Amino acid sequence: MRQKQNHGFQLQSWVLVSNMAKQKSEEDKPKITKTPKNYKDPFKKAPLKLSRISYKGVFDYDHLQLFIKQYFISRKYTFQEKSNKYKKGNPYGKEMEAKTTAERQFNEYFKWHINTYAHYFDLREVEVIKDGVKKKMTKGKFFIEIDGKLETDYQGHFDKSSFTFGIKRFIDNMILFRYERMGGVIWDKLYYEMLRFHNALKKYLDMETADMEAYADA
Amino acid sequence: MVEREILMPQQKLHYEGLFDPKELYKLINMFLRDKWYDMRERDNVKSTTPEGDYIELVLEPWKRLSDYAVSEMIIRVIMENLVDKVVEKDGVKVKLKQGKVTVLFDSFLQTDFENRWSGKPVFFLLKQISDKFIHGDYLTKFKSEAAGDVGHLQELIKSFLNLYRY
Repeated sequence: MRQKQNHGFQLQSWVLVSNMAKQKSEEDKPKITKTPKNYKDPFKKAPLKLSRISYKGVFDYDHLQLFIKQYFISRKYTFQEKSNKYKKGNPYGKEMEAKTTAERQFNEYFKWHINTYAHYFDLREVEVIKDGVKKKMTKGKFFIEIDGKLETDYQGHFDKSSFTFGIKRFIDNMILFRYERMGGVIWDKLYYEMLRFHNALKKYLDMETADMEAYADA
Repeated sequence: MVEREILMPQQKLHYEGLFDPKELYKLINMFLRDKWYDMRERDNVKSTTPEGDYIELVLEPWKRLSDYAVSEMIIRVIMENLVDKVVEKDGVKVKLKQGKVTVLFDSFLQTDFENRWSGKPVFFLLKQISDKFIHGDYLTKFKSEAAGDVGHLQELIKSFLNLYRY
């Protein structure tokens, strides 16, 4: 019995040791870094620089948030609220921050990201009579920043080995990037998509500059 | 490194009176579209004050002239003390705004916007030589084109605002 128990113990310890050795050997193996540090992704950012809308006056805070969400959902984006901060205690009013991202797959290789960052200051609730009906609205100021990003190989098909990654790099740098610069299909579409969202926000806020007639067909 | 050359000193345009801000914005947009500029709205501010609305626009339209040069404008439109007014024009009531408008124009020519000729000192030297002695004519042509676009837009806005002098 003792011998059997000893054997069992020895077997267990051997399994443990072998597992440890396996783990060590895996740790010692040089890890394949999927993206080299010095690699410059040509599609890192869309050519549209950050655009910003600032507003000061009376607006409907809840409805504005809902509008942004519904706009992206209606255009078949996956909408995410990354962060939502609420700061209290300012004598001028409440302060809020909201970061959202909307993603849409353009095709099997490209993915659009439209990021918005909204910062609200000095928010106070006020009662407004609109069309003869009393309504609770918010008075304050805010700015919304819109930013875009074009992601390549979002499914990670080319990240499996350094060879496939090299192929991706070749495609990005030599074929697609040049093609994009020459004619511009996907970048431009994202660019105008962002402009359209920018314009929709202006329209919602009843701004005088809400007009996309010139670039409507783009 | 991108080289940005200022093509002309900042141009200013002032106007005070009646006008339609929507039409003004539309005019700028249409002009830029006609001249193949891509629209970039860096900032758009609206605030309501007791004196009237305040609107500020910072537009940065840009156009690729070649693989090497980009024409860029900065148009800053500031509208202050905007108050609603109803005016009769040819027997028809028209809603307009009264207030001050200031439009500031800046024009630039960006060269080597892809940072291809600034990685090494030899490349930079080659770039300078080509800019001065080989492709100088092209650059002067681009500069005159970019500056001409700004002048044209300025004239258009002037004539547009003069329309509202009843």
